Amino acid sequence: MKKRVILLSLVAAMATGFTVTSCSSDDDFGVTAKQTGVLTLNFTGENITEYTNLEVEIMEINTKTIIKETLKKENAHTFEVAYGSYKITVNGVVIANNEEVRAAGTGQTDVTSAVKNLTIPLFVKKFHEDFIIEEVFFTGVKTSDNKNYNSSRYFKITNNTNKILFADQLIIAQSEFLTTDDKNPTPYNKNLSFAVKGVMVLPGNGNQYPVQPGDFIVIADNAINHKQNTSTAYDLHNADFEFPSTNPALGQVDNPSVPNADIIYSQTNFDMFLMHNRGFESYVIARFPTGEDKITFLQKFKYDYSYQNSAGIITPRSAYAIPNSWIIDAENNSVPTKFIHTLTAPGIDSGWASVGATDNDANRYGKSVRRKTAGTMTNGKNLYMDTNNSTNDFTKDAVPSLKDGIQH
Amino acid sequence: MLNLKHSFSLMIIALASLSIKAQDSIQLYQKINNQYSIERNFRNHFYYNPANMSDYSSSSFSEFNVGYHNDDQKVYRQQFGAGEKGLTINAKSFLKLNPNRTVWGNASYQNIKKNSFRWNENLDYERIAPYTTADSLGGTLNLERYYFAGGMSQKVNKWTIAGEVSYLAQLGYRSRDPRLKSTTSDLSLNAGVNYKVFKEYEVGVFGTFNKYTQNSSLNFQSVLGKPFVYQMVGLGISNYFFSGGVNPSQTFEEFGYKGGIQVSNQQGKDFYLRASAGRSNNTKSHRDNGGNTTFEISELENKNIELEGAKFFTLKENHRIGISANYKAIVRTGSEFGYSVNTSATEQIFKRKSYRSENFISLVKVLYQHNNDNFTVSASPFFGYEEIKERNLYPNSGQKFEYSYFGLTANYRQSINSNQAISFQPSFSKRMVNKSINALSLMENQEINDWILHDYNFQASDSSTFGASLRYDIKLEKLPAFFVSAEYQSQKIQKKNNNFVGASLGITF
Repeated sequence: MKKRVILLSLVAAMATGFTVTSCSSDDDFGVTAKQTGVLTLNFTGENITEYTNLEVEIMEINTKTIIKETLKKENAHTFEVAYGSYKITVNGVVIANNEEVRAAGTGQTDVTSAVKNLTIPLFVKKFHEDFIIEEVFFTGVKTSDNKNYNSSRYFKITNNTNKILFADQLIIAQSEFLTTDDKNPTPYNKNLSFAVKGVMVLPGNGNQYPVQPGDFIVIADNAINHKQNTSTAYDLHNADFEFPSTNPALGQVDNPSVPNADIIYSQTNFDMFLMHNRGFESYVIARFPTGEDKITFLQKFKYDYSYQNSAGIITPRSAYAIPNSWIIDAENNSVPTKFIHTLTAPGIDSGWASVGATDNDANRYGKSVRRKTAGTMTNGKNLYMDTNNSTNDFTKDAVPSLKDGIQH
Repeated sequence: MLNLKHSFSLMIIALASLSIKAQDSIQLYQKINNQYSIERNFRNHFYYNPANMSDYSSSSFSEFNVGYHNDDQKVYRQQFGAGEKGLTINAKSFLKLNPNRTVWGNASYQNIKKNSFRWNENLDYERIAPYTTADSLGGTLNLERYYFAGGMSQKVNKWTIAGEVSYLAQLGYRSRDPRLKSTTSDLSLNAGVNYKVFKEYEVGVFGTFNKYTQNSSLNFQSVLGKPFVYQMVGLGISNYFFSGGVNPSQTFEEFGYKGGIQVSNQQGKDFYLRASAGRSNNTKSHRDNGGNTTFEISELENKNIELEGAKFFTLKENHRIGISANYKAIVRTGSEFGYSVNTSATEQIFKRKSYRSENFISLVKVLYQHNNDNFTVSASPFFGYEEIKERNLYPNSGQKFEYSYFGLTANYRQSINSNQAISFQPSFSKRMVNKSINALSLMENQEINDWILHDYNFQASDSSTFGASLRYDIKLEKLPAFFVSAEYQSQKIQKKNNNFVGASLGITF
């Protein structure tokens, strides 16, 4: 009898102990799952009297949760969101100065409490009667035996107007920062200027290089017939301009019959203009305003900033910045699996294009970003889409238009 | 790894020298019958408490074997791969030093080539999932495993005190892109105390402390491109901020403990009841070559309880019947760490529970064994029920499976003469899916969706497995007893067969 009592007591003790253990476990995900806050976005904008139609995209950076909402005639809206780090893009149509115009804005915030308010300034998109970036081929090609071929990249810049434009002294620049990483530099204001790490300027005295309506110019890294080197590359011998590398290791030989773009600023050795072949950069084209030129630019538009590096050390850096008022067109690039933010003022470009599905995608070679057509000009040439939103305006993973050589 | 090899060699020599003492002159069949006792194997969970090892066997024995296996899978979960093949060297010993003191040890080395797998660039997937590193390419993997374990138990009056230490080290590497290098170390300290309360009735407590570390890194040498590397958070969902990168590396640090109590009679040969509960915390840190800062990105908490009871009867001296019931619950809760990209430094801004998996298993086993002077025959049917539930928040996604199992393992061991014996063990089991729920969210990447759906379909498929093993033991004069064994198993799933073959050669003392 005694042993049974002892045994039963032990069994009862075990059962009790484990019942308590089972009950103490969290139910479902526990309280920390309820980490949500209310994010209120307020939209403002100079002379905007009505926010007719706004497409809001809110992306959380840790989870890539994307909330999309179309707002009609609302200047504020509340979203219930999970705690997180958010980048917000707004594109839409507003009434400013009694005129219906396109506008865009970007914002960023962290939601770590129940309530968060953020004001997003909207900027009316400015369209210039000038060149547009029609195509950027930054990925390059693989050789037929699957090796990298470090040349045959190009910019294709098109006259999308109905008048003759001159390419003389046109500025082409690449971003200092990447769309795949936000260093949060100080100072930084993309609504004022575009930070650059490489700038080239086309030659010409003002009327040397006319471009007919609908026609284009090609600025190749090396204006040669690359097919002679590898069958997979393109014949760019009749490009309008080139910016060959002077680094002997890259083996690019200047084509004397094609004028060189003047690389007025570069952070690389040998003053090269190297395009990011995974597509993390943004590009702009710009014009010097009256009274400014390459010399004054280099004198007046230095951009010194600092950021905290991953080791926590404040790192000073120097680059240059092109005022937004000089920029006539821009195009952001990124990668769907890496995009964090656009680098241009939203009024200049509020979207981004890409080549490749993922970062370092081996299938990206031999593909470009190319502007979509919106119709035909009276002279039969393509009229290209230009809403200052590369997400809509550009075809991702496009077939390069110069694949079979340059034909006007 | 060189030190590990030296330690391993020393361990083998030590075990072998100890084992020499274990030889005796009893008939081979009887010795084999004791060394590979079916009944003892039936209650193997009982020996999780090292204090129970005192009565593991009344005599000492040792084994050294070399084996080769080839597991060729046609239908498989992609993260586990199409099987593996490789060599195993194993030495183990159980020594009864005197009626009160027992020591035991085990050392093994495995050199394995894991067949192609993908969406998993780590070792010990099931331990760290869902917080794995994954890419669409994967490949085969060379894997070396070193395992050492040793324990001792001592009886003092009514008390039995025992301790056991085990250490498992693994090195996995791939010499093609993605060049995975992964090392793990897994140290366990296990202790138990039994107290004899009345006659042969004992109560016991036991506990384990466990420290686990895994370091995995990926390198790419191709300049033409590389697969995108995902930091997974469950069911195909990945962390957007930390995925990608140049040469991502991860460290998993886990600390766990487990405690249990038991009641038994006649060293578990009459009955035993045991219960245990454990908990562990596994933290994943991520670093990329592009930056030199390590970020903690997830934490996985594992809670488990296990209850087991078994009762054994002897009928007419030669007939043994055993019945055991086991219930196990494993609940794993994962937390993700979120960081800000809007601050000057990458700062952690949240930690939230966003993954949960629950696994409940009930198993009832029966053993019938008939012992004879020249042969032993046994049959052990089992029935099981299992529920697996996996859920993710941000975004919502989930899947659930309910299974029933049944199967039978039989064993026939025959003495051929005083120095030869043969054993044959056929087995059959079937898994039936009672219910499966697909509440999976689709991702942007079609390849990931294909993988997750494939994985779901695998888990939602019935399967049946049959197999058999055959073993021949012979004792030649002045030599230790040799054995040779062969094993074959075939799993039928989705109308295809996954086949396993294995063979080993060894000596017993």
